[in-house]
Amino acid sequence: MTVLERLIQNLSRLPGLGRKSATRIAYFLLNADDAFNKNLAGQIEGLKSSIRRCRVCGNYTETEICGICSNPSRDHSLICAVEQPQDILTIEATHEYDGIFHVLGGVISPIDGVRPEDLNIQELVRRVGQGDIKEVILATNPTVEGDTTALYLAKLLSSSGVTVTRLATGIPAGGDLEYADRTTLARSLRGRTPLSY
Amino acid sequence: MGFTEVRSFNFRNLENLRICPDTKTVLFVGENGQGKTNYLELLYILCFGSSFRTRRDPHFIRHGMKEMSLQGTLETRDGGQWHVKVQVRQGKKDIFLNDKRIIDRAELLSLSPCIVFSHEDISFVNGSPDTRRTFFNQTVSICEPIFIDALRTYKKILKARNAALLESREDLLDIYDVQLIQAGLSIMSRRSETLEEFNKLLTPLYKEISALPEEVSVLYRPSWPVGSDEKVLKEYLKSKREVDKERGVTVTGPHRDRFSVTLGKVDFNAAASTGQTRLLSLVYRVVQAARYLEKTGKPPILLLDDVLLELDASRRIRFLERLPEYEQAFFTFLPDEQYHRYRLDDKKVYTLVNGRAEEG
Repeated sequence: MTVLERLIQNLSRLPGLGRKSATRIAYFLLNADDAFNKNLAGQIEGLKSSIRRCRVCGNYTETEICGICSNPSRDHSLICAVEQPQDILTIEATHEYDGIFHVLGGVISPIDGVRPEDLNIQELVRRVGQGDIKEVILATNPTVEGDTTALYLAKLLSSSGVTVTRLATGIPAGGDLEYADRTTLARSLRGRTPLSY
Repeated sequence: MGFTEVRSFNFRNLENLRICPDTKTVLFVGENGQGKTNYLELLYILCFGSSFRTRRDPHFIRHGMKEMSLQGTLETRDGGQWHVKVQVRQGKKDIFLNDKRIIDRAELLSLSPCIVFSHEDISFVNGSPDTRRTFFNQTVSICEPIFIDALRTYKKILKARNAALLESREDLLDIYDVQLIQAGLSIMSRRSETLEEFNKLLTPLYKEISALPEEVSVLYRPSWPVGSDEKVLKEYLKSKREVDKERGVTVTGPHRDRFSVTLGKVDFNAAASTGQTRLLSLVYRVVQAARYLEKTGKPPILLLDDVLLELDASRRIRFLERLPEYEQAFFTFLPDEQYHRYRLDDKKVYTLVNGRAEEG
């Protein structure tokens, strides 16, 4: 196997990349100038040493405590529990939420070998127990495993006195009913709300 | 209108074919072993993306060949024209609807489901609890595809709960109980409502076709105590938890629901003759079709595989008269059957020899 083939093989392991795209990228790199390649290689190499998990919430950060946790103007009485650090980016992009986060690192699924103790759950309980938290928003995905994890957390936090809420599910705003899948539509019908003016 | 064109390539023992069954009734006539049932199976696969005879897709491929494909053009009442293609290649099945690959074959359900009448249907009446559940699940699903999602969700929770049982995770079992109950209750309520409507059609229809006085009805016997709410069921599941843990599986729930048939006041399967059982399985299908028409306003496609053979002459006539309105019906007949006597309008007859179909 040549160096180029090995590179293509490794690139095609990246999410969303098939062999064709991997080949395109490999040839692009082959023709790119040395400085670009060196810079890119350096960034990949340094990724794991310069980025770590936030000591408080588990988000990715270059400092010990992430920018969200260390921001005093955010509402520190509101915690949003998410499955993965990527979910923080998604929620942040809405500019609707000014609380803080907690990354669980996955969802409970015994079939896949993920048990509650494998997730960042104890730390969430500890944070809630410190007393400043008023509400925990459970933002796990609306899947069977996401629901299991949310219910598990709700039970665990039920004696803590904080309000526990779950993200609403339903049809996407600005979307077309025609394109909503039937499960989503059925959930929306069950969770319909009264309208008045 | 139904199917206006059907093509097959390397499908079972059928010669690669293109037929245009543009009539309301289509008859496949041939001796046994000439491929009659394969034609019905082909149409069924185009309607549902799977077979009623095998769960293994590679079985569709003609012996010695590596791939196969089926194509059908389906015209619906609302003027829609749909091109369905099902192919198996390198052991993988793909389904295309108007040239776009679909991921969930349940999408085909909204087009035009077919209802197949076959010899194996008898097990819906006297077979294992699992087979009987399959029939009633299908009866709900063809009218309400959302029920398929409910079953899938339930199955997923059940699997997770069973995994938690093996590890004796009490903390997780508490959570799975809640999820299982919520998913299970919605399945139970759909089953029980459906069965009520089913019996309303079944009892008179069986009486009419059989010309026997006894009343037949199907009894839904849920595994969980009837009428229980979430709270009661939570306690119930807790009381069964030790047994569950011992067996390593969840022993109660809608996956263990039963359906039994009664004849008058006695158990149908203990009292009925084979002929009566066969007739009831046919009536099950008629009711399934009638209920689909009633619920959706759309007449289904019917596939009838040699089923009239099992009835005496007078029951054959009564059975045909009581078929609900259909979009298109495909019958298979043996050559010596007097099929031209049946009042089937607008028909096309195909004679089958060695998997080849010839019109006329």
